[in-house]
Amino acid sequence: MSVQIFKLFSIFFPLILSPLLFGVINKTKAFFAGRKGMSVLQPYYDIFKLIQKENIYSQTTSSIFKISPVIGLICVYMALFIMPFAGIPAIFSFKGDFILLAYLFGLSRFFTVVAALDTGSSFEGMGASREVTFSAITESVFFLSLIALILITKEYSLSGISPYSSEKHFSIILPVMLLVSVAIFLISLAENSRIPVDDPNTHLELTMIHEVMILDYSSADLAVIQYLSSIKMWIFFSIIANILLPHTFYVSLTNIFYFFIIIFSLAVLTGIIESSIARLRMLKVPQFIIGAACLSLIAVILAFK
Amino acid sequence: MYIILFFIFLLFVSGILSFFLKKKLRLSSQIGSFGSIITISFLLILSIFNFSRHKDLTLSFSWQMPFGNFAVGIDPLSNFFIIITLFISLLAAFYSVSYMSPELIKKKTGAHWFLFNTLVASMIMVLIARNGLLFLISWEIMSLTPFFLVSLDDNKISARKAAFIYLIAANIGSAFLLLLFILLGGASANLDFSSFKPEISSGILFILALIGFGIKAGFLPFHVWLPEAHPEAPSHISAIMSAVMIKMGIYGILRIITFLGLPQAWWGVTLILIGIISSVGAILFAMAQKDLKRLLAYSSIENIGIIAIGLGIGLLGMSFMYYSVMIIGFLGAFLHIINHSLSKSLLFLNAGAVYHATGTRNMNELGGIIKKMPMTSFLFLIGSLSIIAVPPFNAFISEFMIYYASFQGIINLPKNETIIIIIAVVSLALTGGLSLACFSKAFGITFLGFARSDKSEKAHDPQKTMLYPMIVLAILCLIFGVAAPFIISFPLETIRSTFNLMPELISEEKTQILKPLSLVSVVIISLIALSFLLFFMLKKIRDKRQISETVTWDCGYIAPSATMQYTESSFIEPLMRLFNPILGVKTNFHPITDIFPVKSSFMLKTHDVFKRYFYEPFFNLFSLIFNIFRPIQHGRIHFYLLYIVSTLIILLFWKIR
Repeated sequence: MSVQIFKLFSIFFPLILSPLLFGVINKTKAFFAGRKGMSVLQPYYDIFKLIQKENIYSQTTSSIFKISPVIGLICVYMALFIMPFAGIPAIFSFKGDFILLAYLFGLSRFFTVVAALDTGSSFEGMGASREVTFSAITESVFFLSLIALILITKEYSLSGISPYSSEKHFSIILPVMLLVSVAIFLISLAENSRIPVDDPNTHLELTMIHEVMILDYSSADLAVIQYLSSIKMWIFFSIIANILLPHTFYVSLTNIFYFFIIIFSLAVLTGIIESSIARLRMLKVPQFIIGAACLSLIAVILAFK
Repeated sequence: MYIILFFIFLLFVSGILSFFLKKKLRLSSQIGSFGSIITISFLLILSIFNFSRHKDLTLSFSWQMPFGNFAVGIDPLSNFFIIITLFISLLAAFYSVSYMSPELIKKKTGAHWFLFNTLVASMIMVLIARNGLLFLISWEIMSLTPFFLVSLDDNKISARKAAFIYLIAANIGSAFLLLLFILLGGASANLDFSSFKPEISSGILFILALIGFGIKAGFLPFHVWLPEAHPEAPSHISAIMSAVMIKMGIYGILRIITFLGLPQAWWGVTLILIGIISSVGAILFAMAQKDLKRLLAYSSIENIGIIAIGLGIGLLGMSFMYYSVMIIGFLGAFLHIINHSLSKSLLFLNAGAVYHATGTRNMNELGGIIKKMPMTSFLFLIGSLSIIAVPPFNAFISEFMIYYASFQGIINLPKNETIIIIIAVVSLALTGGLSLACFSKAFGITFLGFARSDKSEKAHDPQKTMLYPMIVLAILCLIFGVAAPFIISFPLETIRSTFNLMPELISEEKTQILKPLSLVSVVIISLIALSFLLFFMLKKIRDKRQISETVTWDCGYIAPSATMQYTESSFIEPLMRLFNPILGVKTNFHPITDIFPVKSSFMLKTHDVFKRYFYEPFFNLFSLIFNIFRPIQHGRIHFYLLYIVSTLIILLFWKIR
C-alpha cells in the first residue's frame, strides 16, 4: 500500500479505536478489584445510548454552552491530522506543528471552561478554576520535554523528533527518550483527568475537575464530550508511542503492531495506577506536575551534552 | 511629503478650532470629529500608497531651532507604525462620536477633540521625525496629551491620581531620551538622524534607549504608570494608548538600533530577559484584577513582553549573523505588534461598551450580560480568543512565529544563548496557559452565568457607530489569522529595509516559513468549516427531538442564588495561591470565633509589588527630602516678590564684584 493512501487511512484508526482505551482501563481496574467488569466495548454502548437520549439544557446557559463540545471535538479531530501514525509522518507535517497541537488543545480547553462558567453553577466554576490552574503549568512542561528532543535531533516537528534520528551517542539518547516519555505520560494523566490528578469515577462534585465541568451536559452533547476525551487520550499516548518507535517512511506492519501494543499497554498502565494509588489532594497536584517538569529538565540537561 | 505634513497640520487645526468653538457643543463636536476622520482617512490612504511604492520620502529644511534642520522622512519602518496608528485612531474616532457624544460630556467636547487630534498628530510626527530635537518635541506633546485625556473625568480622585503618576513616568522617560540623543549627537551638536555617529560605546546607548523607551512601552519594572493610567482614560483613548502609543516605545528602540550598528549578543539576551519578566509577571497581575480595564492594561504589558522576546531573539540572530533566526524572530515581533493592536483595541472598545451600558467595570458586579448584549459579548469572545493566541485568530500566527524562531535559535545558536531561549520558550508557554486562565475569567465572569447585581439589568448593545469599529476589528483579527501567508510580505518588507538586508535573503526565509504557515492556514480553515458543519448537524438532531429546559444542576439545594456563583477571585484563587510568593496577595480575614453568628469578613488584595516595594518607598524618600523646602513655599505672594528682589540684589553684587 502506498504511504500517501495509508496516511489518509490512518486517521480512521484513532477515530474508531479510541473509546476502546477507556474500555481497557476499566477492564484493568476491574481485574485488580477482583471483579469481572464491564465489557471493553462499554464506552461505545455508552456513546450510542447517550445520543438517543433527550436533551436537557439549563435556562442560564447561552449558545456558548452548545458550541463548546463541537469546537472541542473538531480541535482534537484536526489534531489527528498533524499526529504521525506508527512512525509514519503525519498528513500535515511541518516544522513547529506541536505548537499548533498545544494551542488547539488550548482552544478546546478555553471553550470547556467558559461553557462551565456559562451555567452559573458554583460546582462548575470550581472545576473550571482547577482546570485552568493545572493546565497552565502542564503546557509549559509539555514544551520543556519536547525541547529535550529538539536538542538531540535538531528537528522540530512531531514527525521529525524521533530520538532514533539523532546523531548523539546511544548513552545520551536512551535516557533522554525514557525521561521524556515518562514526563509526557505524567502530563497525559493530568491532561486527561485521570488519577492521581483527577478521578473520573467520583460522584462528589467538590472533588472533581473535568467531570464537574460537564455536569450540565446531556444527550448528544455529552456523547461528543466523552468521545473527544477518548481521542485526546489517544493523541497523548501516540505522542509517547512515536517517541519510543523508530520512524519509517514506508508502511511497516511490525511497527504498526508495536504502535498499538504501546498505546494499549499505556492504557493498562493507567488502569494499574488508578487501582493502586489514590487521588492527590488538590494542593498537591502542582507538585505532581512540577515532578514531571523536573524529569524533562533532567532530559534537557542530558541533551545539552 | 508636503501633502502629509499639510494633513497633519489640518488635523491639528481642526482640533484647535473645535476647542475654541466649545461653547457651541454640536458644531465643536462636528468640526473635531469630521476633521479627524477625514484627515486620518486621507493620511491612511497616502501611507498605504507610499508603502506599495517602495520609495522612501525625505524632506529637510533649516529652521529657527538649534541642532540641525527640520528633517522629516518616511521609510517602511515609519510607515509600518504609521499605518497601524492611523487605522486604530480612525476606528477610535468613529467610536468616540457616540461614546463621547456632546450630550454626554457637555463642556468637555471641545477639549476632547482638541486633545484627541493633537495626540494622533503628535504620534505621526514622532514617527516621521528625522531630527532629534523635532523627535523630542513631538514625543513630549505625545506624552503630555494623554495626561489631560486621562484626567478628562477630573472630578474622580482615581483619575487625577492616575494622571499624575502618568505624568511623572512620562517625564522620567523623556529625561533618559534627552540624554540618549545628546550622546548620539556627540560633539558635532547636530541632532539630524542622518548625521548620527555615536562616539561612546553603543552598549550604553542601547541601555539608555531601553529605559527611556521602555517606560513608554511599559516593560515590567517600568510599568507602574500603565495599569493606573489606561483604565482611567475614556475607552477609545485606552484603546489608542494600549494599541498604539506603547508601541511607540518599541518603534523608538528599533529606530535607535538602526543607528548602533551590529548588535552585541547581550543586547538580545537583555531584551529577552525583559520580555520574560514582563510577560509572565504582567499576566499574573492581570489575573488578580477585578477591574475589567485594569486587567486589559496589564495584559498589554504581557503582550509587549512577548514582542520584546521576539525582538530579542531577532537581535540574537542578528548578532550571530544567523539570518533565519533574525528574520523570523523580527517577523514574529512585527506581526505581534499588528495583532496586539487589533485585538487589544477591540477589547478596550468592548470594555467601554460594557461600562457605557452598565456603569461599572467591576467584574463582580456583572455577569449574565450575554443575553442582554449578545453582539458585544460575541465580539469580546473573539477578542479574548485572539489575545490568548489560539487558532484560528491572529495572535496565534505571531506567537507561532516567535516559537519557530526560538526553536531555530535553540538548534543553531551557541549554548549559552540557547539556555535563555529555552527559558523564553517555557515562559511563553506558561504565559499562554495563564492568559487562558485570565481571559476565561474575564469573559466568563463578566458575560456569562447569572447577573451578580442589578447594574446589568438595563444593559443593551451599543449604537451602530460604536459597534461597527468593533466588528471591523474582529473581522481583521480573523483575517490576520486565516490569511497569514498573504500578509507576511508587509512586515518582511519593513524588516528588509530597516536592517538593509538583501532581498534574496528575505525571499529565502519567506519560502521557508510559507510551508508551515500555509499548512497552519489549512488546518485553521478546516477547523472553522468543520465546526460549523458539526454544529448544524447537532442542531438538526436537536431540532427533531424534544428539548427540555430546567435549572442548572444545584445538587438538590432548593434556593440557589446568583451570589453563590464563583466570583472572579474564587475562580483565580488556586493560581493566586500557587504564585503567591511573586504576587504577595494580602488577605484580611475575621473569622467567627463566638458560639453565636456575628459579622465576619474576608478581604483579598493584590498590590503591584513593584509599586509597593520599590516605587512607593523611593518616591516617599524623595518627598521627605523635598519637604524641607516646603516652608519657603507658603503661597504668600509678597514674600515671593521679596525672594525675587533679594535674588536680583545678590546677582547684582555678584556681577559688580
